[in-house]
Amino acid sequence: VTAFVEIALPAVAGLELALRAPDVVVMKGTITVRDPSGDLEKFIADVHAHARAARLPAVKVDLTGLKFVNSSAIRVFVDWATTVKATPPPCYKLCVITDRRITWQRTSFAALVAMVGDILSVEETG
Amino acid sequence: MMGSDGRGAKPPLPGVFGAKATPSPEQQSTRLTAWGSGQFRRDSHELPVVSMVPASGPDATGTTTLVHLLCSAGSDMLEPTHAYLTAYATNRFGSRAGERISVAVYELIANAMSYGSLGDITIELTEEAMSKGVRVTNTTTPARIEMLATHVNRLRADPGKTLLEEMRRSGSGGMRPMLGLARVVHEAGFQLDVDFTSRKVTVWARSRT
Repeated sequence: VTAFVEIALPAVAGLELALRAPDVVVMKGTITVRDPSGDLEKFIADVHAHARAARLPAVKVDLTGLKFVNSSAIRVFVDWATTVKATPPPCYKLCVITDRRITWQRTSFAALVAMVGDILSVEETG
Repeated sequence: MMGSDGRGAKPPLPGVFGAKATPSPEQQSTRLTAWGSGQFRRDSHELPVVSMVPASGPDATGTTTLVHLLCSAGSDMLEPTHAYLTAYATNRFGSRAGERISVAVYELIANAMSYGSLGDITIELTEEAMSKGVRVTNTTTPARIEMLATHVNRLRADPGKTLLEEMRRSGSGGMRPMLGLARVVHEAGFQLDVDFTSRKVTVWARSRT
């Protein structure tokens, strides 16, 4: 099993990605590229595969430094959450750490919790 | 910013673009060209550009156009145009309003570029006594216009519900969801006015206060 922190990080313009053992994904900056899914989907698939193989109970996604995203990037988060939701157990849960002062995080993840609240929780900071 | 030949160049407008008198060929291909005399100009090599039109107003309805840009459809100017207008709006209106305008600028231009037909896209940053907004005009097909009208009616009825439905649609892997305008209304809190004239569509997102 690839160590969590050894998962390859894609280069997405404006986005700073980092991994912290044992289970934290950190995203900072902005996502404004028109279709970020190509770069991010492989990364998320790798995280998903690792988390399942390592039987992690949760993956934490720290977005407090992610100031702006476009709607294509929101779709990436929706797809990640629905993939987790559709995965047979045992599967990890997603815990998203957000900054309540950043509007897109507040509104988007409130809607996402309404969709998949059984596998997604939001921890607000700020 | 001045043209590559420097003829008739005016001092750069205040903003983030800065001035480069002799840009490299690479820079020319993505250069934003600002002219203070109301001329629209394409570079001689006809690569897509964004042109800046002088600010105007207030007009008869009390609307001042603070920034007026013409952008070639199909160009790759979304990201630099968004960066410029976000910086301008944040500088003029403050960070909270700038954040909201940033969402509207991005999503409206992205929609115009994704769903618009060939032809210029007009982008305006507007200000009225009690509101500020973003107005984007482009041409498109009747089918797209009908789809937009239906979507806007859903948004007017319940923006939060529409955002959730579009997210669900994204998760179901069906048709490409239309999250952009839902964000503009629900997240940024803008009112949407849409005007259709033949094949021309104008979407105007305005703050409600």
